[in-house]
Amino acid sequence: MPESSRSYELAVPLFSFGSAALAILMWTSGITLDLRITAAGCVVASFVLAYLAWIRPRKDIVALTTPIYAIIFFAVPLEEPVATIVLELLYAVSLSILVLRLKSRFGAPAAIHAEGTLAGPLGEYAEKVHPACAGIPPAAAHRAAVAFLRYAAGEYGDVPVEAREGILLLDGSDGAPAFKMAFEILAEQATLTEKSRPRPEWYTQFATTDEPLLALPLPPPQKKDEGYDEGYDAALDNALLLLFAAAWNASEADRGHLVAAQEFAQRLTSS
Amino acid sequence: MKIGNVDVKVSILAIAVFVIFTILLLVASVFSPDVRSQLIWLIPGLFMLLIIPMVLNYMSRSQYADITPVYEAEAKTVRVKLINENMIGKPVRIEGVVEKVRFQFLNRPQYIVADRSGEIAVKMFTNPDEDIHEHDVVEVLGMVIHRYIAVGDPVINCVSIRRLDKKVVPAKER
Repeated sequence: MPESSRSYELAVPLFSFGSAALAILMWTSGITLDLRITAAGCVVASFVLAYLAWIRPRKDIVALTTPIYAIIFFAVPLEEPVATIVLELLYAVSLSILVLRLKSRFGAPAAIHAEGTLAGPLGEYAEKVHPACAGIPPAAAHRAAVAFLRYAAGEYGDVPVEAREGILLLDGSDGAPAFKMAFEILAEQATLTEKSRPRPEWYTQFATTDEPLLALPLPPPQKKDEGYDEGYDAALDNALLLLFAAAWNASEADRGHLVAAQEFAQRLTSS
Repeated sequence: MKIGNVDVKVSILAIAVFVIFTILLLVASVFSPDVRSQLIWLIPGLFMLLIIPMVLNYMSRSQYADITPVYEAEAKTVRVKLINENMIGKPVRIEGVVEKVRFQFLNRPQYIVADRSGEIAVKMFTNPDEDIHEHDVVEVLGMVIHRYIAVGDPVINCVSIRRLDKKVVPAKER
């Protein structure tokens, strides 16, 4: 988790309880200032919480709307200072619970990365495949990007066309055979999905010699319960990731589009 | 209650509202002659509390029934893992196990459906043709949408959910 995100998480209870503590201090020392000034800490804490909810891939609508509640609760003055203090304390407890809820139920914030770099396992994989991408013509890498993006968008009918173009452009190049195989797997599976055909008994898959270039290990060739063959899905995930890495490394012009789809690619890296 | 081919169901919430207002009306009419003189309007008004949700349910159920064949023809069968933000607006078909059922009593059920690759929220804005329970193996037809209209993770706006002839044993009972 990024260090800045942890600081923001700490800032929520710090600001909210801090404002309540300040209100208690002012009240006990007989300072006659409007106690609503201290409530500003609760409002700031709500905005920080809303920001933490916003940067997560899964949005928590409760945390996102806390600034609205903060303004509603603290805009109108309460007559009794004790009531303001109790309200601030209860609000601080609520915000702290919401931070814990956000962390446990809505996952980690999206990885913040520098322009032109990939985060996490996907970045490591793209780096690993980088030397093998040297022999791929940029036009073929562009086709890899388009095929990947079309598949990610569920436009399965267009994928085989792009894949066949990619295979033609790879012919005679120094690119490893695994890239051609990735195009073939993607074309085959996209065609089957587009035509709503069932999984075939026999299908195109990577050879064991391709394994050093693959992101996920090849499963053993045996069927699981109810005849489920995990090799079929593994072949597709590996093909998509290999084409993503090829496009990332050999077609810099496509990186902007690939970044937009990197969350999908990141999910594929988890087997 | 069946109207034509549509099985109309009223949510427990609508029934609760009807019951509460019936009791209030009974009590008020016993104690107040003014209320008794208005019963000619109040009783039909009371029944509207049941009729309006029933009509809305009928309309939504019949619309869902009309569009289900379109989805059956156009939806592509995908694994849950492949559903992503770039597929917003695309019709999909998934098969999986129901892990959680929420808000069924409001006629706005939300299911968490999982397959071997992951899990996804499946939201339905009317009640399904058949009651779906946890651990049922189901086929879901629907459109990929954002969880909160324009933001949030992708979820499925369900048009049809039907039980397949399979049942799974929950992991803790194995």
